[in-house]
Amino acid sequence: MKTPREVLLRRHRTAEPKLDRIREEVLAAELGCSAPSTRERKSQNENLIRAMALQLWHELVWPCRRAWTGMGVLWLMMLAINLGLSGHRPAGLESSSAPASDSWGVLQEQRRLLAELIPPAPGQPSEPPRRNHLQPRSERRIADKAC
Amino acid sequence: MLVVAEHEQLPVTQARAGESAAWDTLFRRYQLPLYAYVFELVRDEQASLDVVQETFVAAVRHIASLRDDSRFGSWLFGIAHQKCIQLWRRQDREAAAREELAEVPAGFEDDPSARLLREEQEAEFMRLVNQLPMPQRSVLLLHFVEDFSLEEIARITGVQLGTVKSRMHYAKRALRRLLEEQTP
Repeated sequence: MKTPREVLLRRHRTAEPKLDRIREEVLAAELGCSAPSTRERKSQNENLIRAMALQLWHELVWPCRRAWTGMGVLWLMMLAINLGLSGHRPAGLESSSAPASDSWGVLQEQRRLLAELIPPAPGQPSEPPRRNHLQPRSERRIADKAC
Repeated sequence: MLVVAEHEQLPVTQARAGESAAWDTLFRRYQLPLYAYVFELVRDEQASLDVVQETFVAAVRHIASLRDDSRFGSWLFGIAHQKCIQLWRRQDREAAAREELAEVPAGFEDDPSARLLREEQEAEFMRLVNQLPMPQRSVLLLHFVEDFSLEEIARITGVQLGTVKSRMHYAKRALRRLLEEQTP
């Protein structure tokens, strides 16, 4: 079942290629272009992106513009302070950038001095226990006599 | 379903600015309904294609004369209608039909466009439409093709609203009578 409109349009579908050609000719003659070119489509896409960006600006940024401005100022201040601090480093901090090998040497020296200065703990044996201490007393005597 | 042209979002503003892509969109939208309307009036393929071409050219050149962008469709059909009249005058044909264009009867009836047609009735329907006198056929086609309102049809055809109403009434009555005669 079809409406009169559908009937009418279907009757003339065969004329569409001719109508397409006429349309292109008119566009070429009157507007100096055959059909929407790739460049025009690209420009339409760019316009669309621009419109979306503008919409985002209007919906997200512009209503809270004071908050965004305040945060921006804060960020700028923090950046300025950070840059100011890095420009005037104290002398003590500069020594920290000495070569790693020097630091390692100093550390080794400090360990050696500590080992010399601090005596070993009193409970700790200065020498390893001798093996014959583990022998029974009777065996120890026999061994002494043999020597 | 019928498409109500005036409620569509068409790039008329861009067309006014001379954007070819916008014109391309507009012409694509209207080329077939326009051709169908013109062909059913002039009954000649080449003449109909010429009228469509002249209508497109006139639309591009005179878009500034369009006051309301939402009426682009009826404005375009109005140009085509005038081109048809010019064609008849040039060919000096259908003098009787042109005389009828000046008549102003009255009356309006219910809308038979909602009637759906079966496949086998289509050709018969068009044959019956083509039997109608030219002025009645014109308003009926404009009503069928683009669902234009009576006011819009009056603007397109350049006649009084009452004239359009009466022509629509007589056209529908005649069509109904013809359909009844054809139905066994």
